[in-house]
Amino acid sequence: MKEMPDFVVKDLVLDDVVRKNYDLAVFASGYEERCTQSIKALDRDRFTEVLVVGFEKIVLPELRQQHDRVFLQRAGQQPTVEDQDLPIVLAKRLTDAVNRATQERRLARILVDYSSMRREWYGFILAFLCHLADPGVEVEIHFLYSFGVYPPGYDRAIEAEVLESIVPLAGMEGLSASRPNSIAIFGLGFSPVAGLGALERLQPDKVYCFFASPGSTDENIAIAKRCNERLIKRSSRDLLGLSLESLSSSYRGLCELVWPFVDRYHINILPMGPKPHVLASMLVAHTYKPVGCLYGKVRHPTESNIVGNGEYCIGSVLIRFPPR
Amino acid sequence: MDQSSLRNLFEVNNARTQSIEEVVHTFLPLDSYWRLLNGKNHILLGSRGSGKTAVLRMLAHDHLSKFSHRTATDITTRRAFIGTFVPMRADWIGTLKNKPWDSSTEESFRWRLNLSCCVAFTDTVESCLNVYMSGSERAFAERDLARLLGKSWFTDNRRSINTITDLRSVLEDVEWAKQVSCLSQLSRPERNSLGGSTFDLELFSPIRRGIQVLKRVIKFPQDAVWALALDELEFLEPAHHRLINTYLRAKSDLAFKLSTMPYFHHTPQTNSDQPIVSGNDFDYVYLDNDPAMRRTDRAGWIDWADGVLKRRVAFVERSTAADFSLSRVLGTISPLIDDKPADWGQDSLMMNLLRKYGSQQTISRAQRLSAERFKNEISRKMHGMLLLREQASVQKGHSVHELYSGPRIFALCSDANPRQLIRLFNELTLTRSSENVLDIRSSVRRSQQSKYVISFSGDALRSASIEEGIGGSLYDFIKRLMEYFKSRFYEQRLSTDYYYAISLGPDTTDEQWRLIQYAVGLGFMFPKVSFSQPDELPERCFGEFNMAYRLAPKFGLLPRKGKSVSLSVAIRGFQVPTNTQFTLPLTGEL
Repeated sequence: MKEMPDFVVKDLVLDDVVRKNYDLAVFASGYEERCTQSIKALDRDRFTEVLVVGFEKIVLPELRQQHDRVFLQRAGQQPTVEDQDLPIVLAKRLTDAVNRATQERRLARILVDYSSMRREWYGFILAFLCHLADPGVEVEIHFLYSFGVYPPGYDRAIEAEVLESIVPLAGMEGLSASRPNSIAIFGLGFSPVAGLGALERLQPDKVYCFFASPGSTDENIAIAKRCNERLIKRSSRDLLGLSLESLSSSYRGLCELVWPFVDRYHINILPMGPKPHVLASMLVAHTYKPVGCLYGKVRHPTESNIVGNGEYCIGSVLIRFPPR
Repeated sequence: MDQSSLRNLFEVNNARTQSIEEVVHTFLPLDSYWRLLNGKNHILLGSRGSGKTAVLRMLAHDHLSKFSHRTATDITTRRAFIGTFVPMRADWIGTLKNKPWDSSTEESFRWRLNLSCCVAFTDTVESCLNVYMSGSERAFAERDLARLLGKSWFTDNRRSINTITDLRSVLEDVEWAKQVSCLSQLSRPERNSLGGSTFDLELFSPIRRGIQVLKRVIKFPQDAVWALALDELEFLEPAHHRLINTYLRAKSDLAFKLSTMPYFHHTPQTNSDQPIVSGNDFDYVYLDNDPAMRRTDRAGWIDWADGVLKRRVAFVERSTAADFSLSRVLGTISPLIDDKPADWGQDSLMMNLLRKYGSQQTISRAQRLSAERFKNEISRKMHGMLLLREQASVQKGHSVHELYSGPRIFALCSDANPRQLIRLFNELTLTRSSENVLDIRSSVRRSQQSKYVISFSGDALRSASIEEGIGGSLYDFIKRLMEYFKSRFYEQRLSTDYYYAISLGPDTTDEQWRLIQYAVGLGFMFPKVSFSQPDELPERCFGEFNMAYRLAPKFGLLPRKGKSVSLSVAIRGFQVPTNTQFTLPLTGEL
């Protein structure tokens, strides 16, 4: 039976990425301006293959068309629009990229700009590569996230969200069928409904919360705490601050949080805050079998255009399976 | 007293997250529970927090065998009822919905439920070993059972399985391997397929096999009932209910005890031509309408609330439980509800309030009545209403009052729902302490009680907005109805009629019916159920529904049953009749 992979998680800067070659680069064309920030800064010739994924729903269509044109111009790609076959498309492209590198007896390297991606997409990429790799094979993924400037009133727009459903991400389901006791770990965001709705549905034995600090503004920290006041009241210990700028330290912090419970509990992490914390949660779910990473799907009353501020959080995840 | 332990026990208000000892020692059995302890199929209906999970858990052998109640001890000793409890959480069900490429959802459901039943059955096996075996005999029996179950459930028998713990570890690994195979099959189906496993077989066949194995090692009477309790079916899809229903209809060696929210038994259909029929294939048991609660007077509600809380206190420290009572913490009088011998003389405060706020017709009627009839027909019905109206007229800003205080208000505002009761108790006791430590010895000031009950009421309404899939609409719907009742109460002169329920007619829209089903499921409304058929829920277009009592304080209303108005009228909003218009200016919310 396949066991969990070993991860080596490191932080990178943009210069590290600019100088590397990639077997596959995956981008998302969406309604946020920051989705094109990295493709404008990187050299297409360093990517053997490029895949641009587009949103199914037509949201802010003018912006979306504008971003599609940038990807066409810079990467020669029209987006592959999201539908139920998207996982199959992703699986094929990832398998091809890894097979190519394996045949050449070298490390496979994938770039993923997840700044404007749905978490199902980059979660699938991570899960698939974790389960695809064979003993002895190594795959390195560079996850790139553009920090954004949020429009005024962004937090109030999120407050009007409605929780649609709570599902674990594929491949990050933990041991919900075989362990009756559970712990929930919430990453605090600006939505007051997602966390409380999940808490009501999950009714975990214990609750822990983490939030973005350092790296977040005092104002954003205050908003996150205010929006999640009732959730924080249920927390079994003080809030855990996790760096917004370092994937490796967030991953380490979450591993330390879950470690005492992995022998007895099914552990659900529900990250509702910034994407680097979502990614760190996914990595923890691939580190310990009993850890699941959940996703509270919410309906947004409006969509917000988020512009990149020129800064990045880039994490390198080396996946390897020790030879048997 | 270990205040910290006590605090933690009260913070946990869901039976799913309690230990066996906590559930067993804090369980207060109502009539509904005893109805389930037989070989019939049952579907337990109850709003969220009504105690469905606790009831189903108490059917499991590992709980029932620890329950110190004469009937429970007798059943355990006779080996007459062997129950297994299977929880199905949001994350359990979510796993069926997160793979858009996977079309085999029914197969996945069957696989997953079979696996979970087997995991839960290991608890039953362990409990039977503990209760019916001892010494070295137990050790050998455990080894034999673990080996036999391992052979029955796993196709790969290379792993050594000698204990129940070994068995559980392998079940965890099976779940993990399934997860891996679901993703890997996208790239290399030929290499990664797990092939057929025991858990792919017919639904419930692996646990049935487990029961046969257990019977080989431990003796049970021929007529022993083997029950399977499946919790939280409301979150499953209709296709899943259809599949499970099929087993309720078939003659079976398993008795099914299923729980779901009212109106959330999605379909009576089965995978055969014949649907299941209530009263024939199964019985509904409606927990919210338990005769021990709903049909007693208000003193019954206080006794119940006292009992639930006292058991929790006793679990931590028995000696403190003897001192605990709601009246010690909250006082003995609930000014809005209690029919205390108030002064209703000609120049009394209450009579002046009646003159000030009562309709002319009511005042005239009051003047004609004898003292006894006046008490029954006027003062008992109206004193709470009059106090609320007076409070609203004198209220300035957010000034505090004492109206929502006392044990009866406390019990009523829990809606006889254990989870709400504990939340309200926490609101009253935890939040007033700077150390967040429960204090059950000293009394809570009446004004504080009132303040926290109103705050709890506001939180209860807000909780509608977080409900998955329907939150915003449900919140708006309930708020609108409550605003109607508030306007109706405050914007005209009072009569003895109090309105706090809706009735449905043929004009009820699909969306309204959906909202009502959720409102009932989540305990924001309660159907008026007939005495002769207490477990039958009203159908669309015919029912009457009381609003939850806990919503009343937020809107300055009385937490008590009221007359109904048509939903369509309530949704349109209250129009003040010209001849009954009330002239005093309204102040803000209480």
